[in-house]
Amino acid sequence: MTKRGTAKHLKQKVSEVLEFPDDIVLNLPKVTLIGDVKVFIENHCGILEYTISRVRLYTTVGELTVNGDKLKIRSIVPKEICIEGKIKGIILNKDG
Amino acid sequence: MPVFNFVSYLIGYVIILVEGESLEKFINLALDNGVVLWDITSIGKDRLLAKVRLSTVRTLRQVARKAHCRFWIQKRTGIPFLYLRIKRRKSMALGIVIFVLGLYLLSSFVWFIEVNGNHHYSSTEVLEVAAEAGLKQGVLKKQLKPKIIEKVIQERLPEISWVGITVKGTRVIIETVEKEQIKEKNENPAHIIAKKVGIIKEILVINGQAVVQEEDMVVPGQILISGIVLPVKKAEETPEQGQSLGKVKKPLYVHAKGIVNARVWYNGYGEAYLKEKGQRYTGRTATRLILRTGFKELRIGPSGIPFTKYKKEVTMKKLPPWRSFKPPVELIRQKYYELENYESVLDREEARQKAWQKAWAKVKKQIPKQAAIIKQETEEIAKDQEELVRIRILVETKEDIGLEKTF
Repeated sequence: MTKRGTAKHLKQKVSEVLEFPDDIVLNLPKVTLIGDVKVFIENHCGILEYTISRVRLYTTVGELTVNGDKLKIRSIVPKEICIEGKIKGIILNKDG
Repeated sequence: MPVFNFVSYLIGYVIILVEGESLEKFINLALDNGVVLWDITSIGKDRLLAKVRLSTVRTLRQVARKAHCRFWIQKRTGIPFLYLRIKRRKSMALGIVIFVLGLYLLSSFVWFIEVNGNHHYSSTEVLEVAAEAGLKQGVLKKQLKPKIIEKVIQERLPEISWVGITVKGTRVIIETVEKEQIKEKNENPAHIIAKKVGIIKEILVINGQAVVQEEDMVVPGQILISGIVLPVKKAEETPEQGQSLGKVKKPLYVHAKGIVNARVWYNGYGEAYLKEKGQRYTGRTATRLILRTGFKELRIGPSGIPFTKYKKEVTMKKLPPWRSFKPPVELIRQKYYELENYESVLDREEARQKAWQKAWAKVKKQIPKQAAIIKQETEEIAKDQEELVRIRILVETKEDIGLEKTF
């Protein structure tokens, strides 16, 4: 086990014991979907692609794709993004 | 988000059109540099619209250079731009300021004064006193001291027992309550005279000397009870006149008092046609407003008159003149009442009733309230007429026909 892996493992253990939310401790993306009109994604690491029908974001667990129609970035700040439009699907694909 | 939008409006924001191959890179770089973008909308390939605060546009230029993108400002919004626009159109800004100021100034004066509840004093009298106390057209509302004006009006016009001044916008309403008039007991010598033609039924003298008798026919103006009491030859018999004993043969002048009941006749006449034609209101109305300035007229409301037969009522409103200047603006209000023709056929009995009602209404108007009706006769005149019914009512009453009259 690498050093980084150990640290990650330890963090996960601690968060499990203390019941901290994983998204905060482990910097995991948190996706909040409101119907099919709005999606909030916390803890993103930047945009990879933005078109009217697809938004691809980089996160700590890989790529997150939001498919839909008339997509619009309502707001974007470091760590948080709000996408509006007609959302059809959210796909999380691991690296590789 | 509403707070964010509001603050953005205050400090100003722009809508930019960004063009470039790597727009994502542009967004990411902007984020890293602390530039907040919102409402990002893609408009076709390699082009997007976004909103950005004015203060960060400069930073964004560097970002665009790094990301190999170009952007143009499409629209400027917010207070700073509004300010610039106003600065460019100074006269308009001045106009707005003058308008607001004018509205404020004009609304701080008293323009209309209304007097309510006065009977004894005329409105002009009250207004004159109010003007002396400092309430007149054109004074500042701030300088108005209602309490003091109320006091002055009350002092100067003693018949007024209460004054209330209320300010409603530019209108001041002077509400007055006058003292109940207590009639001073008139002790001046007076006769009691007849006010109507009648036959005396009973006469009760409280003071004075009766000059008519029961069953006498009297005409208006005739003295019934005289205020001149002629000395009686045998002075001992009239103890009330004891004081005048010394000056015998001089008549005594008194304020005559007494009740003179008499039989009085009234008649009323009414007629009704069996076939009636006429016009009456349908109840439908239309209103038209016309604003006239000089020779130009601005009409508000329906253009045509929607009725074929109508009655027109016109009311005009003008602004109060100031010195010799008459404001050239008038508001004319035209109200149209629709009329319709009607024709009704009555049978003889119905017509008789209608005529009777008309006649009775006429009689009733003449009879005073205190009068007691003792006899009432209805008479149809000229029965043989074809399309007309004519009714006469004769009423006999018993009433006091006395009227005090000083001499």
